[in-house]
Amino acid sequence: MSKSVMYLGAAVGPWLMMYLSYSVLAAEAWWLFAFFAFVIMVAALFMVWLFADWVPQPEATEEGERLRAPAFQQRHSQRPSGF
Amino acid sequence: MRVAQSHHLNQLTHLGAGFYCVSAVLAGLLLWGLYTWGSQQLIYGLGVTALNVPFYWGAYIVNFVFFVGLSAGGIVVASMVHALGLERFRPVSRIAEVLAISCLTLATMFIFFDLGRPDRFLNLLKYARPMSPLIWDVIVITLYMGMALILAYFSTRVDLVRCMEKIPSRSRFYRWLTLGYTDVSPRALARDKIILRVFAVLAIPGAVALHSVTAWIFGLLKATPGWNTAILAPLFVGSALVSGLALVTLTSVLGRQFLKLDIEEKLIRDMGKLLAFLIPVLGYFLFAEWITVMYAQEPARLSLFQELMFGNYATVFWFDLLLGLIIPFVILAVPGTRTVAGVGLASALVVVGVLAERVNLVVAPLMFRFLVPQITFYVPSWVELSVILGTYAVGVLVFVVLAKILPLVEIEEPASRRAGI
Repeated sequence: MSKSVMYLGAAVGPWLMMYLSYSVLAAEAWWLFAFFAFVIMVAALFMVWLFADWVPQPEATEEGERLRAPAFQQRHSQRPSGF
Repeated sequence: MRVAQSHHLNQLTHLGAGFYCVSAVLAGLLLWGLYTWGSQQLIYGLGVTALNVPFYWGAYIVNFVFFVGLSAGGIVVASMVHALGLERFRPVSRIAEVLAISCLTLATMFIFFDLGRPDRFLNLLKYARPMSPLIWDVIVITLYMGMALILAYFSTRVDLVRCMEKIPSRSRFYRWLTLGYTDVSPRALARDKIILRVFAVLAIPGAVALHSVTAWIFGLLKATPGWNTAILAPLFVGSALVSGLALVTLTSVLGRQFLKLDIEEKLIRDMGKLLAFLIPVLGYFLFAEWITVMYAQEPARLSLFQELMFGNYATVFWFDLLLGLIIPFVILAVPGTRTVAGVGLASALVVVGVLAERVNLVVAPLMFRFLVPQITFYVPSWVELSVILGTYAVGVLVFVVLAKILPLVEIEEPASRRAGI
């Protein structure tokens, strides 16, 4: 999925959710739903910003899981200070 | 360090008889509370509680306010580490974050119990009015909970990845807890640290807002003497800090004793010192309120104060003053008694003392809302007590289970963090 689609989803999704829950509940307090939609949108955009450029690390893939212990040991020895 | 690391992991994977016994007792209490709530309160309504005129708010709301306050300490300790860089409190920062989240969850549960019909919670959202402090509280609690979860996630993530590596049998579970974000490169850790710092700084005004808004639910009501005072919001912030820090300290002492957590004695003593510094602040706020009431001699507030000092609520009042404030302060201020056991005892007294203060703050003023004071006494019914006991059990059970899932003390300082990246 491209990054722009994820950003679009994060920006529009919360408002769509807000409208759906608001209309289903027949709520009077539109401002409260709008407020929470805004907060969720900010949080969602933040999450996309945080996770979108994340490339899976070797230890997180299926194959990496098999190689996990040696790979970890190797890294550990290369960087004596820890991770 | 390697020894310490394996010790922590053994702590996680070793499920001994003690763990099962404690969990079974807690689960039993939880089921009892659930049964009582379901079989009594849900079917017969709030009539099975002791709530009545004039006491329409009782033990549930007392506990709501109490737990909202307790959640403060966790966030404050976590903020001291992540925002102010007070590294020596790092070993207890995770305990603090876990306590903040569980206390806030418990507080929300008490609101549901007090509603009588929990499905009416939706009405709070459907017909919300921006002028109502209750709605401000809904908003602030939700945002604060979000912040607490973010703090807990980003400070725990690295250790979860470590556990994923070291405990293969739970690898999938830990990956699920990290939400798949298992990057532990120096760049990712540096980013985590920035996020932690931003949210830790945001959490401080968040905590002040949370306790002030909870105070304003009471303090903005003009008709109730004892509630309608400007000092109520600072007083709530003060007692939240004191009780919250006391709970974190007490949990650290108990964790050190029973879970063999790697917390040094000096740290416990330091937390005791911090508590000894905060208790007089709370005492000062209370004194400022009482002297104003006594000097001004405004009839309704004076009669409330007399009721607190010499009336039905005198036991609770003097318990709070002596055992909740003065004696813990003496224990913590004298270096000879500021041992681990001493700090533990003082913290426990402070926590119970603040609960007593909440009783006097929420329940007693309700007697004086009428032209003729309704001199009477409120004692929670067995249904309320059972539900409260069950809810307390939920809190402790969550903590006991989390102690077997999360390393409650950070496993190892990541290199990048040590290097100050």
